[in-house]
Amino acid sequence: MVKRLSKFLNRLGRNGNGAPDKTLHGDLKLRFREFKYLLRANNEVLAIIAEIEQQLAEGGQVGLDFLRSRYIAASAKVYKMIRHLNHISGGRYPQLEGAFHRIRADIDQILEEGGGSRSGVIILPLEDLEQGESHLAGSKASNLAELARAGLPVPPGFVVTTEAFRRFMEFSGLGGQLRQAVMILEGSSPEDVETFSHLLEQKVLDAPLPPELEKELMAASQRLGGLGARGLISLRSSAVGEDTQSSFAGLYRSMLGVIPADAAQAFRAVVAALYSPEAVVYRRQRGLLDQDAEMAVLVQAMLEPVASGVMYTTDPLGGGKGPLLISAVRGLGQGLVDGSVDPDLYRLERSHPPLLLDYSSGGQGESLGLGASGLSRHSLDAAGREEPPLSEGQALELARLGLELEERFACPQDVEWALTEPGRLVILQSRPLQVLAARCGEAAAPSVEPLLSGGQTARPGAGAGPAFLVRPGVELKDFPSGGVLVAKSSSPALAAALPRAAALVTDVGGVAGHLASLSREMGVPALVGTGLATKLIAPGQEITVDAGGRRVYPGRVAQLTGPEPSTALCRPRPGPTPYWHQAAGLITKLNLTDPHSPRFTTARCATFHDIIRFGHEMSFKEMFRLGDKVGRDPGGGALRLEARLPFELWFIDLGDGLASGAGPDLKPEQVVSIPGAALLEGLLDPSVDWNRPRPVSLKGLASVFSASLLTPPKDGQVRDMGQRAYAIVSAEYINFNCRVGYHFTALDSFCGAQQNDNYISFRFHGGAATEDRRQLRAELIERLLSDMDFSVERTGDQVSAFIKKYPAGRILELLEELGRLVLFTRQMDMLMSGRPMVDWLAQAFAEKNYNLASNGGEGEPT
Amino acid sequence: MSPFKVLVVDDERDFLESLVRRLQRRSVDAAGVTSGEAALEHLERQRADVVVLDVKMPGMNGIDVLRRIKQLYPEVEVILLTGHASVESGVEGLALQAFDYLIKPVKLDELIERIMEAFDRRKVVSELAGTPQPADS
Repeated sequence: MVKRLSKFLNRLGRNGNGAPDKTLHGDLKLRFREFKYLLRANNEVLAIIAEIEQQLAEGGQVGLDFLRSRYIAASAKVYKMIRHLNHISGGRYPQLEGAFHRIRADIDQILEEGGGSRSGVIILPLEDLEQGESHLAGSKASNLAELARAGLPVPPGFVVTTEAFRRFMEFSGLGGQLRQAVMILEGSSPEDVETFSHLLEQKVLDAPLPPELEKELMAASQRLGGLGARGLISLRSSAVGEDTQSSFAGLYRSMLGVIPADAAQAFRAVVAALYSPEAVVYRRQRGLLDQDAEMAVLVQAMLEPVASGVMYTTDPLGGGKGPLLISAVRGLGQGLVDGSVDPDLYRLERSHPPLLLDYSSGGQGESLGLGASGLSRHSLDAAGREEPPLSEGQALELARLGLELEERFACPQDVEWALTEPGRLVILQSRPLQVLAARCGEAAAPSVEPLLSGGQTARPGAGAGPAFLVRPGVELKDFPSGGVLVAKSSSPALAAALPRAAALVTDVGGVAGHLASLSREMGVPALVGTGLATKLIAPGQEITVDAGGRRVYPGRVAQLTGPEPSTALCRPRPGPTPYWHQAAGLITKLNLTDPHSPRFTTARCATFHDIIRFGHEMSFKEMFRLGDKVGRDPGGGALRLEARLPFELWFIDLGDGLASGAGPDLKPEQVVSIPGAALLEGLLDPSVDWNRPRPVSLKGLASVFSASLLTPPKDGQVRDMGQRAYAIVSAEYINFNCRVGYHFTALDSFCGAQQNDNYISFRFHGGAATEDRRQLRAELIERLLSDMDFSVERTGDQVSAFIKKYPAGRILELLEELGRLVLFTRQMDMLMSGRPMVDWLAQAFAEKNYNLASNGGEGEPT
Repeated sequence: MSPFKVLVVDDERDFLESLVRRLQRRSVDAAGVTSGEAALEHLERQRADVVVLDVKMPGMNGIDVLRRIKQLYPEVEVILLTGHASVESGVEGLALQAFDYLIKPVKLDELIERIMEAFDRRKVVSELAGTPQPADS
């Protein structure tokens, strides 16, 4: 024992005489910066992952370019993160780069070869389109191709693919110019935006097509013209994501009655509308990026209809229960769509077969038809006005087609149709119809008082079940199927229980966190960051979580737990998963959920998400090791704090952690590091009077414990050992290492503006007392840390605790409390005579009775 | 003006001028050149702490310029800023110790933040190497 102690003191003495070491200080500064860069890269990759997942969750209506651009951005950040981790650790994770390159090669292979015969296709006949190719053909053409496959009447045509669009933009240099223009125009006025968009439109209209595109487009158009009325064709926008949640209705351009020889110019005109001021403004409102917009163009044989119009398979205001509506005009339907003509209206009962309810004329005076070289208007004579555009039989037939479409796409449809000369009905377009939610959906707010409200919706929806509180001592494997998972932190370690969960509620965590990602992936309603869920919800209590409404109710609230509340727009029926979703998964999926698992290794990193999860976790460990470096070899530039403490406290500044002008004889107020100042506040709390001998006799205790056990060693002895503690600080960071008495305390914390970055890591071990007492003290510390919401692990007399993703305010409170804890528990092993003492001291600490004043409180053991 | 000097390299003159002007308006001591060759000439004559470098340029491309800068002036921090991003050029640039690899469009605030971080790192690295410090404030 004595030998061990003297060895220990020797080491401390050597430390005390160390010459200032500028290199170590600079090295620490650099490593800390690398750590900060790593944290930021981690957050950036998480944001990209959330963005990809959200797009896929919304029906996969994204283009390949979207995925490619996010993949490129993410790969640079992931690679950067690996570089930072290896810098911090001195190259401890060389295999991580290998994992990165493996994943990259897999993604590249899927993106390059997964498209099979489709990759590089610029013109595709409509009838050759297959399901799940909307990234190639856009939404409109995809829907129409599906109708054609089902044998429904659609005009013949072909698609100029998004690949053709991409080649056009890069060949002409427009892609690069667009990206630069977006950067230059940041923050500019709406007028500037309009000027820019006109300029860009003009540039598109003037841009050359890649020769192979021009050649193929002209040839295909000439062939198609042979099938069109008067040899004409039409070109319509078929942008990726158009006609979906963001309808872009009427913002893009259709070119009707085009001579095939003009196809190239008409193609440019349709593409140019992608940058029209309306489209640019609309995208900004929807939070879509100009540089992400991708357009395919649908080219069809021109029809010369006697009547045309729009059919809603249900009244959009009728909550899904209204009649089927057909609007019709004579001739071409352009006027109906742009609102220049009052159409005739047919209302039909949605029965099988449908039934005509009524018909009313709009009093149309002229019709739009085809002339020699485009569109022309004709006045209608009296007979023409009398004759309804559709006979009753034709209206019924159209309604039957409408109901068939509704069934096929599994949701109400907005259909453009035409009636050609021999009385043949043709479908021009079919897209999901926006229907306002039915009343039963609106009546969702229950009369029950919520248990809690607030937090962030990580994944909308509602779920009910018995609450399962994740706490120390509770095994996740005991989580019951259909239960509601309630946890303090949004730890990915909970992922294993997610598929069985009716819903998830957490105190801490944001929507960009790992668990939030997983809940979206698995479709579990999730409410995160509520602050109080684990305090307000009792284990086993039946609760209902309304994640979208950000409320938790007691009991089962029936109107919330039915089928998922129907939104205004029904989701497109999921088709086969496109091949490139697999590539997205190699970026977004998370396999490494449990850092304590033996599988938490570089070799198991199978996705970008795995790599950053691993890197993030290891970065904490590596930062902790910084303190060890200093413990062996104190750095130059260390400044000693002038304060009354049982140890010397030396500060090393990594940047903005100490006030400028701070020198030897550092004053506490010169410590401006946010977490550093908070810890110091606790260490210097005058109510923790470490210098006063502990009361020899505690009222009520004396009868249980022998008084001699309660006598601590004289403080002077401890103090004169010349013990040093180090605090390495920056504005938002502290790494604290301290040997007080005979035990070792280390703390590492980051506390900044990004809640996701915040954490405290705390370690404690050792002690001079007998094994038993050391263990009891460790138990006390474990208990105190658990009460402070840390997740704690204890092995014998070693305790390690971790907490992360808390708001800065709470982190600072905890640091202050830890400062008090460090002094309070010092030499506690001398007092640790039995387990009741652990309870008693824990209570004393909670009551701020740091000096164990005898107050006859009920907490004293009797 | 900022205590640090920034050199922007981009072959698109309109973009270059606009970016340099906007940086200057935000009190960043920035200059611009339109080619990699001109960038190396500039660095021979004048100090720069941070270089914001386009990747795809006629003549010497950004990666070659980066390699050369790191040989000649290892403490100069280089931020790659590209409108034609690829996984390969990102990895290559970062492996050659580019401070960051940014993809156009980037918000000006974000770019300035990265430039300041790069300068901060440059100071620490110089300190560590014991070489003369860049001018500070």
